[in-house]
Formats: sequence, structure tokens, C-alpha cells
Amino acid sequence: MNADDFIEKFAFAIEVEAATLALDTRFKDLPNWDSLNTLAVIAMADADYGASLTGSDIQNSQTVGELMQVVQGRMG
Amino acid sequence: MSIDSSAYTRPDIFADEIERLFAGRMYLCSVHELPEVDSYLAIHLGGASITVRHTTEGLRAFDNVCLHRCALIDPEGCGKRPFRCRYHAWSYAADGALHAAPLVEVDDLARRALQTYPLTVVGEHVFIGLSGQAPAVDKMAYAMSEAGIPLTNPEPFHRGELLQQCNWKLLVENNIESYHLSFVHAQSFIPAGFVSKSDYAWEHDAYTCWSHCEPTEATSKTARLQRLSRQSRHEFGHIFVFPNLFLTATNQMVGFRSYVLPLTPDRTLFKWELFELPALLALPTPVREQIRAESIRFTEASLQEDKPMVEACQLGLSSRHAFIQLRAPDARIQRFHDYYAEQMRHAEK
Ligand code: FES
Ligand SMILES: [Fe+2]
Repeated sequence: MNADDFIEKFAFAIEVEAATLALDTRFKDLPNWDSLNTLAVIAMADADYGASLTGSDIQNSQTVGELMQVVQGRMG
Repeated sequence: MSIDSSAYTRPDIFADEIERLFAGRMYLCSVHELPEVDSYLAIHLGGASITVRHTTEGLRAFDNVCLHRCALIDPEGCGKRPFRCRYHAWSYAADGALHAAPLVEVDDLARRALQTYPLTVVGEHVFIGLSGQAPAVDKMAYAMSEAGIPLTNPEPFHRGELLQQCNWKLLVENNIESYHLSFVHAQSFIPAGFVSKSDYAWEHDAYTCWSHCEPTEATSKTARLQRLSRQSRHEFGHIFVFPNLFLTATNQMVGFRSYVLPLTPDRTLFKWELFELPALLALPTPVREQIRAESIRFTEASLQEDKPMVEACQLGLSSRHAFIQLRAPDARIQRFHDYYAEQMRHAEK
């Protein structure tokens, strides 16, 4: 799985510019992070990677990179 | 005119309400609570003990008092068991007739059938007519379509109940006003975008009323919700079917059905079911699971936030100087009081 690609999809899901995110971004500290973003990321992981995430996966991940690893572990 | 404060505490008024006002139409349960033959739901309210059963001939309601020595046939609550008294095993048929009584000649008995009550089922909603007449529920379908809730929905994904130390009318009133949202619901409605000042519109029919609450344009999340589902909107729809049923639709995703069962003047059982609306059913499984989990959290938080308020009102209403003053934000409560007064008067004739 390509990290740039993941960052781009993550950014699109939560409606921010991909350039503002990196693997070490603590995404829940972003301004305006809310429960709808959690849903948007779960929907993105399902649609783009066929990976099922739960709310606690997102709760327990701090950075974009950590979440990427969870998604990777859930793929096919 | 509003309901007199003593109507929240006086046992004689409570008895009248059960006998007159709840007698015409009372919501009892959803069909999901009685899934198979021999499922039952038994309640005791005011002077009435009733059991609703899923019989081989469909749903039927009976007096839940044994013809032998008056034990409750089904224990209070829900479950599945044969239609047979637990005490000396007198058993009953699908129409309430005494079927068998061990060591006793049934034909010698003066009373050989349980009293039955008519039920009306609208979609999945079961109403009882304790007066003996089938309850009128013809206005319900329209109110439900106004709120975007189908008449029939899938099996609920969550249920719960809460015993509240207050009169049933306080729960109705709390349910049909949005005035308190900003002051009470820090963990539920406020973060969900619904506050006292949200755009709130309501309408009513003979015995239903329904409302729409929408965040102001600046705070609306409709555009973001629609990226998840085109059918979703950031809104809270609410229906009240007099006297005891509420249905809500949150963002056109989650349906919530709740109802109150008056046990005594100051004790009320509040029960609820959460179910998925069509927009949610169409979403991918992990998204549905997250929305369901979030809605359970939301529901439990908001009910826990309301509970101390309605119970505080009960105590206040039983004090010597209780006096109610409904103002403009209480308009929907005023409508409830008018309808209540009408029904109590009408029943007096
Ligand atoms: S009381 Fe029911 S069988 Fe005796
Ligand atoms: Fe409330």
C-alpha cells in the first residue's frame, strides 16, 4: 500500500488538502475533527481498501501512519 | 389553560387517566417484541393487568389474571412461555378460553374465558383498546410519512428501558419540547448540532403531532452527511402519538421508538427501540456499525441527562406552591394539555 495514496484518500475523506497531512499527523488533533470524520474515514477504508474499520480502531490510532497500518492489516 | 399541578400527583386522577384516557388508545409494544408463538408481554398499570400474546391465531390481548385464584398468568415483562398459569397450571387457548384445569371439571366453572381486548396494528406498532373498542390510529401513517419513517422497519438493533420516578405526563412534555436542549444535553443533542435555538417547526392532527428540528445554516452538516448518503440530512424529526408513543428520525439514518407506561402517579416505565432507517441500511457494514454504536451512546446519554430533570419536576409539582406557566417555547406542550383536557372532559360524559 502506497503511503502517499493513503494520505490523499484520507485527506479527501475528511475534506482537507493532502499537503497538510503527513504520516505522523495526529489526525484527532486537527481543527474540526468530529464524529462525522470518523464515519468518513471508515467509509473510505471500506470503499478504497475493502478494509473494515471500527470506531475504536480510529479512537486507538494516534497518527495517520498508525491508522494506515491498521487498514493494511485488514485488507483482503 | 394548562394541566393543574395536582394532576401529576393525585392517585384519583391517575386512575381516571388509565380508565378514560389510556382506555381509548394505548401503545403497547412493537411486533418485534413478540417474535414467535408463545411470546408474551405482560404489564400492570393502574387497575389493569394485561398480557399480549403471539398466539397461533396472531397477536391477542387478554386480562392477565387467572380464572382460578387470580394469580398473574404471565409474569410481568416479556418472554416466551405456554399460556398457562404458573400456580396450579390452568391453561388457556388462543382465544382466551380456559383449556384445561388439572383435577377440576372445567364445565362446572362459572367463568371459563379471559376477558380480551382489541388490538390495532399499524405497521409494526401494536395499540390496545382497553375500553373494548379497537383503538383509532388512522392518523399515524401521515405523521410517519412527514417524519420520513417507514411504517414497517427492520428488527431493532438495540432496546432498553428506564424506570423514571415521575408522572408519565412529565415524560411526554419533556419529549415534545426542544427548549431544554441547550441546558441539559451537553453529551448528546448539543454536540449533534441540535440546540434550543435550532429551527424548530411543528404541526398537529387530531391526536398526533410532529416536529422538525434543523441546525441553523451555519452549523448544518447536511453537505457532509450527504457525502456518506444522498438520502441523509442533518435534522431531527419527532412524532408523538397521543398518549404514549414517540418516534424520532435522526439525520434520516436512525429511527428511535419510545413509549411510556404509567405504573403509578409518580412511577413510569420508559422503553425504547433503535432501528435503522432506509438510508442507513443502504450503507456499507462498517459505516452502519459505527452509526449504530454512536446512536446507542447518544440515546443512553440523552436519557440519563433528562432523567434528573423530569424527576426534579415531579418533586417540585408535589410541593405546596406548585404552579405551571407555559410560555411560547412550550407551545407543543400547550397542545398536549389542550388535548388532554378534551379527552378527560369527553370521557366524563
Ligand atoms: S391461580 Fe392460576 S391456576 Fe390457580
Ligand atoms: Fe431531553
